[in-house]
Amino acid sequence: MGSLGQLSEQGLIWKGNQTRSADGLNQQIAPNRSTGFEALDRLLLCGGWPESGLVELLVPANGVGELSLLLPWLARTIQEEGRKVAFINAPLIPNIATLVAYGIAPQQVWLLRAQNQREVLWSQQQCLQEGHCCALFMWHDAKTSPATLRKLHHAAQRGRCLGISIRPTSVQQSATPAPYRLQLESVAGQAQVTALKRRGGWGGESVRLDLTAKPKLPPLPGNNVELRSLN
Amino acid sequence: MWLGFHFPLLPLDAHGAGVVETPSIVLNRRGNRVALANPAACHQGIKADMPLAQAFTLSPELQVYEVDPLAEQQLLDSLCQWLSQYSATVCQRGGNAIVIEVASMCRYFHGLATLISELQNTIPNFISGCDIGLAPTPLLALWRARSHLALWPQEDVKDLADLQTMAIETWLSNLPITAIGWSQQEVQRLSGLGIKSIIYLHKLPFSDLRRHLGESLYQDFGKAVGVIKDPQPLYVLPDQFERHVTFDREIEYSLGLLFPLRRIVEQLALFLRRHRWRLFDLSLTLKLAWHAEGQDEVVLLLRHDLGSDRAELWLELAELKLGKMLLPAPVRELTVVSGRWEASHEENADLFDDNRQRKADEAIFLSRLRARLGEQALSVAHFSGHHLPEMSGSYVPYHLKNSQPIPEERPEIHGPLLRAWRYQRPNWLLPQPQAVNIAEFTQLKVSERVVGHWWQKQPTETLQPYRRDYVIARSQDGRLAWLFRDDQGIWYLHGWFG
Repeated sequence: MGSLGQLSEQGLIWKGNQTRSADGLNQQIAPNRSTGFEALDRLLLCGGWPESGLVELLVPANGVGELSLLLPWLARTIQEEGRKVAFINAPLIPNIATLVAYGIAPQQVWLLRAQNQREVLWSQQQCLQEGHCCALFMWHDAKTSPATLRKLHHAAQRGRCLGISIRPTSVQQSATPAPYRLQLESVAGQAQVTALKRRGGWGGESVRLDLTAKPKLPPLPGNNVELRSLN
Repeated sequence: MWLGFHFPLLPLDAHGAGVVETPSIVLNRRGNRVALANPAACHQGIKADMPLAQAFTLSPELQVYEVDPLAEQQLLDSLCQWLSQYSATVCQRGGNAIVIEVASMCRYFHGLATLISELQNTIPNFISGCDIGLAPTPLLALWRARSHLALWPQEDVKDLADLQTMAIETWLSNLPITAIGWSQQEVQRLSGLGIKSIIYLHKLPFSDLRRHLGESLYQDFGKAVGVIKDPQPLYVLPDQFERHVTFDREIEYSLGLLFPLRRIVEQLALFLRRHRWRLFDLSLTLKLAWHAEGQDEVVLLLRHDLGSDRAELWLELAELKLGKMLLPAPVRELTVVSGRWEASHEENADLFDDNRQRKADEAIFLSRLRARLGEQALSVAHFSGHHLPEMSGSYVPYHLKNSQPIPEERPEIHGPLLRAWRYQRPNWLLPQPQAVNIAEFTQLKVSERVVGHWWQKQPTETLQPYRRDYVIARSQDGRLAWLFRDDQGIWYLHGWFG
């Protein structure tokens, strides 16, 4: 019993009714920052996007809502922590005007282009583990191995970074080391988010979000936007 | 009072072979005999002046190097830079020795013993060792260094003032005539006269010395005992660091360059610390063995935005850069030249402010990314606030970020614009607008009309077409698209709202 208690204290035993915080200890309520969507906060069971680790987003196509889901959280996190958000080999270009409109200063946004798969994974690992980014957007295909994702997950935990791994829906039956796997699709004009895997509960639950509705946003810096301070 | 430094293995150290486990030798100028052997070669019985064939018989795996005067001079320069932190008067003596004046520095270093102890603790890694001697004159200090005697004659004397008043005979005592660098013939001639030690010379009447020694040795001896003036040419720190290495064999793998580079970068760090500079750019030129892929040489530029004098950082950046490159041909020569620098300032560290450290760490991180992925791989966002989608913002390569114009402050315009753009502008843009069939989309809302610079007669390509009517539409798979129709009525997809 003593050894079981020790393992539990070390955070190595997962209990279904508990969530785990970044420090590895089981806690009833993890102090996560809200996603900006109440329904999504409830779906994730931890009050918001986790502070670190890997989150898999399975999407049928690019631009289905992967950035909209993160933008309110991202704006608040960057404003509070002053860390960066990075996009590595993004298939589309993140629109700076929208990011600025959400209150993200442009110098907080990095865009990386790596030549080959080896360089891509190296840069992903570096960005995740070095602690300079609060979020990293990555695109992984079906060939990306669980071992690779596990390394990235550990790197994200070391660097207190949220790694968003965007993958095709075809991988939903394969195993993943990421603690969260969400499927994102457009249904009847709304974004449907299905939790295929989450900490602290069973998968399968879905919520529908209106991504065009006004989310809970942090205020823009000042009443008037001062461009000098943004650049 | 002077400290003399003799570097006996300098010709081998110039090739980085002074302390390696492989037996290594430097050949004499004719190339048929051993001029100098490292400790590993000496251990196998190889001695100076031994024929090369005999040396190979004793050690078949022997590494043989030729004398490289340029490399030796560069190494001696770096050693001068090392010693210039201990004295303002640093002088090169011959090809493998340096003397420094220390009497004026003893107070600063809290005594001669502390100064020498600090000096011995900081002998650079790129030299395999040195002999040190102390004396009232530069040449005598060097003779004492070469003779492997104690630092000064009477070890119980510790005070500098006592050492300065010590008689010259005491300094000359026990100094063998064979170890001070005079030629074998001269030594034999003096031995024939019964002069086995330098002290015997001092006992002779000075007027007879010129007759016994000849002009050259007479001058030497006079300078050593302080009778003849011995002006020292001061070493002056150069304004640029430049090292050129010609390899004795071709280097075929890029990472193989790291071994010679390590020694050079250590010398660079020494150079920067002496100048109190931080370096921003370092260029490596690799001269290829033959013309390959349209080039004779490859130039690599290492950059660090905050500047640094740390050898480990520059070496890491070089390793990241070299690790990913494929050499078009083997490399024969390497040239390292320092680039832009600034004077480094000592800064007071704030116990509770980690912002500065975070910025420094971030700059190192970005330099690593750029070194490994290339200068164009990392871009940062730049926002201009322009109403045209292509001009409202852009991603500029990191090294050009400071060259971007600072946008004009127009809060009365940009405030409402940004609020509107939260809903009217998409999160993702396509690299180029893509012509689409509008029938595949369901139009939801007319978004905005964007008009280009009508006052420009020849608008740039990015501004064409002039007038665009943007709409928000839903694609067949349910995604929200940002489309526009141009003046010709053709529909383009420009972004996605997701």
